[in-house]
Amino acid sequence: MKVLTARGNTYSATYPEPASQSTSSQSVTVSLDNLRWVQLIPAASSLVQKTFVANCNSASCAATYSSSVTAGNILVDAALSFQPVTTNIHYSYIWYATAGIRGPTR
Amino acid sequence: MAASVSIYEITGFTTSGAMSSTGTSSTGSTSAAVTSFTPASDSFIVGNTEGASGSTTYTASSGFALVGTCGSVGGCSEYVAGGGGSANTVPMTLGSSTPWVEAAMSFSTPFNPQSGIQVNGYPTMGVPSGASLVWEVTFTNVDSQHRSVTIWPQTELAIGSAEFEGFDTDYTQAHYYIIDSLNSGSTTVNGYTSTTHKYVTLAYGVPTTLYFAATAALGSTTQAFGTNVLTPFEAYFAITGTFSDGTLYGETNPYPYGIITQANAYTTPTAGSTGSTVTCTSPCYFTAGSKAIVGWINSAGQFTQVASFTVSGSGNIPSGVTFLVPTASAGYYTIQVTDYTNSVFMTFQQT
Repeated sequence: MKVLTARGNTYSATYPEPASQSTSSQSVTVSLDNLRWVQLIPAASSLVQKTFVANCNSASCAATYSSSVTAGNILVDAALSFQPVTTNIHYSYIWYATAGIRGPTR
Repeated sequence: MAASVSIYEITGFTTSGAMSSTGTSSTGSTSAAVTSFTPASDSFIVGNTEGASGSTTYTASSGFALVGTCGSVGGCSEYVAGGGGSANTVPMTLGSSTPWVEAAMSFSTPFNPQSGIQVNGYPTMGVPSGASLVWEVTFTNVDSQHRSVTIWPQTELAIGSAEFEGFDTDYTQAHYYIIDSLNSGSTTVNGYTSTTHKYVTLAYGVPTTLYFAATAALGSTTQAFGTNVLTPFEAYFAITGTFSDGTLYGETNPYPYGIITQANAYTTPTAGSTGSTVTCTSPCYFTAGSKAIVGWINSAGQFTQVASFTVSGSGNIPSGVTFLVPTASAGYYTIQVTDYTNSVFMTFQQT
């Protein structure tokens, strides 16, 4: 490479090849053709439907989905019970499942 | 015995990496909460509380919604779709003091199918500006004494470029610290040593892939480069650690440069075997009036043009840009939309 200065002088210099720049005196080399990126963009998501039944003391609480369940969606069931078998022991549960071809009902 | 039941159907979330937390008060209070946990960004979060009194009013906390009318009930749940990203105790308020128990769960959103994850990433000629990124790169230990190198958490990839700040141009730099890996099935990442519980060791002569994404050493919050970066970026790896003989190790490894773009594009649908349409979200930042093409990149990295168009006067992709999906074995492929100045990469699943 030649350089012409503001005063009209010139000088030249030779730089090492890129390969030797990246490996000389290095203990670890990076593969220059293998730096890649991925983007952490979330997929579109939404709540499709929900329902709630309070204070049910029946074996079946009749909590049903009001529209057809789509296969592959996640079904979340949050249930509470109080004063069950043993007094003063209370429970709060959350279950989930991925819907199959036919959606379950309660 | 009585019970309350809340049911939900959600879409676009994943059960992979689902989180949970619980809380209880045996003495009673009007404030129910679970032990703090941190759902990933854009999660579906549900909390489920029951009071011992059997009849009280439940109020959702800020950002949450009650699943139903929860006055004079034994229990209730609250939820939020699109929450997360910070520590949360999923608090609920009870109308009267009573012992309570609460359980909470979160479901995060999976990777967007066009994120590049399925095709092992994209090259550095179309890096999106302002996006949360994970960098993947292969290192090889070439130590002249054939020692292994143990990598410490301060190891990072730093990239810098000129950025327009609204009134002038400044130099901006972003730091991406080493992480363990991407988190399969969600947009979270695994902080360094969080899953392996040990530092990475580069054995002599063995190419090893490392990942860089965190805003801080040992962190799992992902870094995003500036939003108005338009010039090519320059990058270097700052690597610290120890050699296997106990000697301290540290060096800087330069990377030539990469090209940032603000342009965006995507296909609808993102999977199939027939055709797809290419669109973008305005402003799309292609060069107004320029010729542009859509390319299909096969598993060998070969580029085939599948569509062409002229960018609109506002820099957007005009309507009606479609392409036929090339015959190929089922799998993930890279689509590139480029006006030869601005390139956008995305993933397409050939079914």
